[in-house]
Amino acid sequence: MNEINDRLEILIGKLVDGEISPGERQILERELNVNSQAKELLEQLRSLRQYSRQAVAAEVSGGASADQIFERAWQQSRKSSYQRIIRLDGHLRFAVGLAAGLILGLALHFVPIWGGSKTPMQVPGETLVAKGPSDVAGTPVSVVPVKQGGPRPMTGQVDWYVFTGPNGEQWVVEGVREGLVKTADYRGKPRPM
Amino acid sequence: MDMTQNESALACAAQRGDKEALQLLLNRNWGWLRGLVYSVLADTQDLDDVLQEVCVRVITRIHTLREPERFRAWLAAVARREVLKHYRRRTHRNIQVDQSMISLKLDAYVRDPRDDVEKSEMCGRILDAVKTLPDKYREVFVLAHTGELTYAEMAEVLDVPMTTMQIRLVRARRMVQNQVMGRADSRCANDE
Repeated sequence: MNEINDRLEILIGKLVDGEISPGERQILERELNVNSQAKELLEQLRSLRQYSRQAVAAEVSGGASADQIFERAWQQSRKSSYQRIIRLDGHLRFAVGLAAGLILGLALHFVPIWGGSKTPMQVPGETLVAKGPSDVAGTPVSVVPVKQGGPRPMTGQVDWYVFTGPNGEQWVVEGVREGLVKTADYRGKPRPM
Repeated sequence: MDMTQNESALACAAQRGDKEALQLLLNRNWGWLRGLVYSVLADTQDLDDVLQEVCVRVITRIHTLREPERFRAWLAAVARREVLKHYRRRTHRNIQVDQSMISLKLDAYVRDPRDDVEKSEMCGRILDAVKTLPDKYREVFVLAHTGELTYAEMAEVLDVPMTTMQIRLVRARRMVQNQVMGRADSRCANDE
């Protein structure tokens, strides 16, 4: 076997596979006449080729036909393109949701500044003194916040708050944040005239 | 669609969205494509599934084929990529040869009942040997024995020069022959 080089083995392979040219065939025939190992290899490769073709054919054949697989693949590719559109729509929906969330967040951030808190709060440590033409029930009056010593409570963010007067009447006062005094609504008992 | 049209024209038609041309093109190349996918998979279990994935890829990517006259090489590259993707998807799988299945499949090819055992055994040994070959040798061996491609076409599909393909085939045969005969393989070099 050692006397058979790659070149000769290629020629034998070509002969077995029917790929040999007339010139190569002449060279090979001359070699086969004088080289018994080459002749033996030719027989072995012929046999191997025959069995190999059967083995490969048996292994590879069967299963679905080319047309069946192609049709399935065609349907799958159509479905895939539709799914890609859906996925794109999903991305689009995500982007829209994100934008909506951003807008909502910004709105929540700015609305308290623009509109102010609508929740009345009791402000401890402060007394408001009525100072106006009339403090009759239902009649708006002006009030002024008066500090009674001690640290000022955190009322910076409060636009509206309620306080109870010395006689039990309740007042809703607007605009203490920036020292601004506005009218207040009286929600207590009517004071006897 | 005229059957005499060459593959390059069919590939061009397929790129323009001609389903029939694409189907015909794949039909013409089905035998070796099946062999190539099998040779890379070294298994028949998922052969049809992978072939379907290859077809899907071809259908959706045919427009990216730059040289229609090299459709076969492109198709082979697509097939190899799909097999690799398939490998990544599946984890551990035993690829032992199922002798009983081989015997069943061989029934269709074996005519003389006296030869059944001998042929089945020999084919099983050959397939065992083929599965142990390095990838590049297994590919060329299987392609050569699907009986559908000439040497030039095999070189085109494998995207290697003709001489490289011939040397690979010689060495693959030598390795299989040595294994089938139970000989130690002393001449299977990796250099080409």
